[in-house]
Amino acid sequence: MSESESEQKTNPQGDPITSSAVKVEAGKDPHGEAKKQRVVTPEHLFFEAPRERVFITGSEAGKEAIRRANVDFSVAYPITPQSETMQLIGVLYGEGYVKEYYRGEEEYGVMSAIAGASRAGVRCFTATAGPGTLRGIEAIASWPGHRLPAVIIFTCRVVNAPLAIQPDNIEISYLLNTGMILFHAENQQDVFDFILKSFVISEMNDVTLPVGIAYDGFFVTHARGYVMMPPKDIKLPPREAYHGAVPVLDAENPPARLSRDAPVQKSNFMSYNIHAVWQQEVWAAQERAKKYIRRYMDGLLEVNNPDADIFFIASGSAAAQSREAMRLLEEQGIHTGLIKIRSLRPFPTLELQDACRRAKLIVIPEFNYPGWLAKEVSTALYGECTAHMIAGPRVFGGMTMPVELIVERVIGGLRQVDPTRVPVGASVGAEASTEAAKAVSKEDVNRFMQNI
Amino acid sequence: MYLKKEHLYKRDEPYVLKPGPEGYVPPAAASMGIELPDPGEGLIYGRKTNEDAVMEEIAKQMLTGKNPTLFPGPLVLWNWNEHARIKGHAVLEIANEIPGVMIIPMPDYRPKYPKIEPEEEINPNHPNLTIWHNKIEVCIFVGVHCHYANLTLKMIRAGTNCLTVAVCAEQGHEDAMLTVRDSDDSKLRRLAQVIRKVRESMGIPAPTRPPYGGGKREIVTPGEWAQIRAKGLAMSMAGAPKGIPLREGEMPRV
Amino acid sequence: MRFNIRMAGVGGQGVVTASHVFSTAVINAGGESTIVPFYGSEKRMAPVESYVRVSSEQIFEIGEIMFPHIIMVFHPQVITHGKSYTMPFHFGIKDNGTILVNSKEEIPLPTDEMSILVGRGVQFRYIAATQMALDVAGTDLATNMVLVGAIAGITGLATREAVAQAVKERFLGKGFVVSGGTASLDSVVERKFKHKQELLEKNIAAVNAGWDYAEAHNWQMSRKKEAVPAQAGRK
Repeated sequence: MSESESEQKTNPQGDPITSSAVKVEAGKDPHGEAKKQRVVTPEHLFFEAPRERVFITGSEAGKEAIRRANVDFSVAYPITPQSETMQLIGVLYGEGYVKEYYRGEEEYGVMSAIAGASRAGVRCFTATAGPGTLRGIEAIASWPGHRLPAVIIFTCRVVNAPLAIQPDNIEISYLLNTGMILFHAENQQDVFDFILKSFVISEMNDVTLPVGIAYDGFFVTHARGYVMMPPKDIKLPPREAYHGAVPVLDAENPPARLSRDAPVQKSNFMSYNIHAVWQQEVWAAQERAKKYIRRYMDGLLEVNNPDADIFFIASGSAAAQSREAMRLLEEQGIHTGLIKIRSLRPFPTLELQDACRRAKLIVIPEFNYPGWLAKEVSTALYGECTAHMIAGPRVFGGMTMPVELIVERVIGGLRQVDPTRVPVGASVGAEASTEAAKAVSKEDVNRFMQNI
Repeated sequence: MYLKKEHLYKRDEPYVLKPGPEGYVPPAAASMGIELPDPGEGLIYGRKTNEDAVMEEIAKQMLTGKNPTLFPGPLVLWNWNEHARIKGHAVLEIANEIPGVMIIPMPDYRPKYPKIEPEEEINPNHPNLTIWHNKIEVCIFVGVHCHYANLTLKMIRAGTNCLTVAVCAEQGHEDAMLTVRDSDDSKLRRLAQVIRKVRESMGIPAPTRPPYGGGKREIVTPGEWAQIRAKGLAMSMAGAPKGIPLREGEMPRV
Repeated sequence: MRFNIRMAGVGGQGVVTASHVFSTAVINAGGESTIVPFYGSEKRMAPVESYVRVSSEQIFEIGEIMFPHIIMVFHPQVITHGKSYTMPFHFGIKDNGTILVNSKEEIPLPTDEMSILVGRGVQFRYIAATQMALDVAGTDLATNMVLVGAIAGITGLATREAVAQAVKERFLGKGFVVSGGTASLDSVVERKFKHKQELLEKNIAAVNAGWDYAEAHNWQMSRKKEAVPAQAGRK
């Protein structure tokens, strides 16, 4: 082993950390590369610039997106469970790609600082995970109402006790109704693309809302995948705060001096309707965002095999697992399709209704206990689709979701039996003790364990 | 065009945005499937329409409706930049084509303490009061930041019978019955000319008096009116007439 | 062709390194591969698992492998002391799967477990990898390399050149180091071998020894798609 190698730091998975602070050569401007960046149109950055394939972690994909995002301000609060992302943004700050960066006192402070900075008119970014999401959620939930453009990533890593650090995206269910736009990235490529595109969508005048990008911790943040990315010498145009839906904050001068004026709250100085129309306006802005999501992100959802009559409806890692389940089922002669939900808010109600019009069986795999996606899908499809709907399989608490489990749900759905009643112990010789377990045939067990 | 079932409207019936009063909690137009116009277009009662046709409808309504009113907002009242000043001037050109028009400013968005003066000033927190007090049945919003314009437009549609027009510098407003987008100073002037053309074709004579302020009070003399028209409406705090001490945050009266 | 492989061993054996080398080798040979290592605090003799997916097609699946085609046991304690995250160690092995065990002799299993596994066509393959490492490379630290050779032979998804290249990349190129702990271990390894070249040669020799053994015993798995009998409701 060479000496330089033994100095290299690694992440908890043993991967080398490519983020260690840049060594600055004497007399060389540490911000030199960043200063050479030139502003290009979003369309050029997203669709026209040549891209190269790299093999990086989800956190590194986040870093590379921010490098090209012309971010003014970022606050970090790193604590387990988190991801490396904010640490990597610190490196970008050292290199001059991010103009201002500091470590907050905790998530409440971080999210409040983002609110202030965004209201002051600059482009903001932060990231949180797991319990930190809930600690910051009071401030986060205030962003949409204040019409604050900002981008935040949530690397989902369970909020319940006992704490797990592997993926469980229960925290998304807490974010669905804050009024913020919410995307769910499937893999490292999505992370890179969604972050960059989110800034543009977030700052559209008729949107002017924060965007959250959720992705599943560990499996996406800490694992590597292929990412096609444009060169690092180009970046997005800066935020144009003058064209926001609300004026930027000047603490001393009207037209809006948040902290010095009377709050908008129920009183004789307010119309009875004010809060109602305010909330309506937030959700109307969500509707308006759909146009830009279609333009930049190729739609709120992605339909694979639209001719199928068996569909997986999934988001995030569950979509990746479903792709593999499609392959395995295809090998068995069962044709399935996948509807990947990219945008959870706004939710693609109409697109989903159209995609599922002919569906006979719908399987909704999820990485959380309560099954928030199944509830969303049911609400959207109620009265619009006659498919048999299976709200599962679900894994939680940081478990992985075996593709075999998804496959079994499909086959179970076709045979009208619940395959999860196959006791896994049966595969290793445990005696069935209950009547229900005894009722499971050896054939079922074998099939569950079969070599697919 | 679609409708959402949660609002109990029929799916195949497009939502039409009409003057209210529409009810206790009418939906936001955007959530009823009304989309903002594309460049070169405007909205007439929620339908995307060629911009010229929208301008003619605006002219017709402003010339025939009761108590037509302009509501200029901070983006044309405040001297943010040279373009804002020029736009303020163009707003006055519009006013100059509408007989009996009122100009009631929305100088800021702050809740009003300690006393609301809804007749003289419109505020996004209770815009319906201004409409009610002045019996306004048709109005144009111009230079209001989009979020606050949308709050105001929704509230007016909920509780009043006023026909709303939004002349927007950005993407337009679904919650206004008539709207045009990308309105810079030249488009504002074009609107003034369309209003003049329609006015002349309808045989309506040009206004002989300057616009009223809210509350039917005459706020400017004809001499001052000429002077203001020459300079443009937009002015900064620094540019406020000397010798008139302003209350904190108060908008200089025009 | 697709294999999901669970590599189970104990801290210090280079399980994660083996997974990286094998994964890289498959990619070098033109295939696809992903790895998911899984372990707690780094310490010797604590359970370590690494999940390797190798395929001739694109891989979307993520996370740990619960239902592997192949289980590799790097240390007998995985079986005897239950040092695996999903117990028993053979949990989830697919029908006709392979269990490759580093042990000189067969490790007895409870009869009922064994009969079920045999009934499901599971093959046990024993290889004295540690002894072979000592014989070929002169150190038991090359045990993992013998097992890399064996798994390469079993799956048939890499070539000898591709594995040799992966070993070189591991020791020389791209600055790749598994972890801080392993880095210090590596310097011990380095002292043992006078020259880096010698280190490479020994490691590659260890790989080839494992590979030859697998070939000599005809361990290569063929996963032909079997026709699935028609079932009620199936399309």
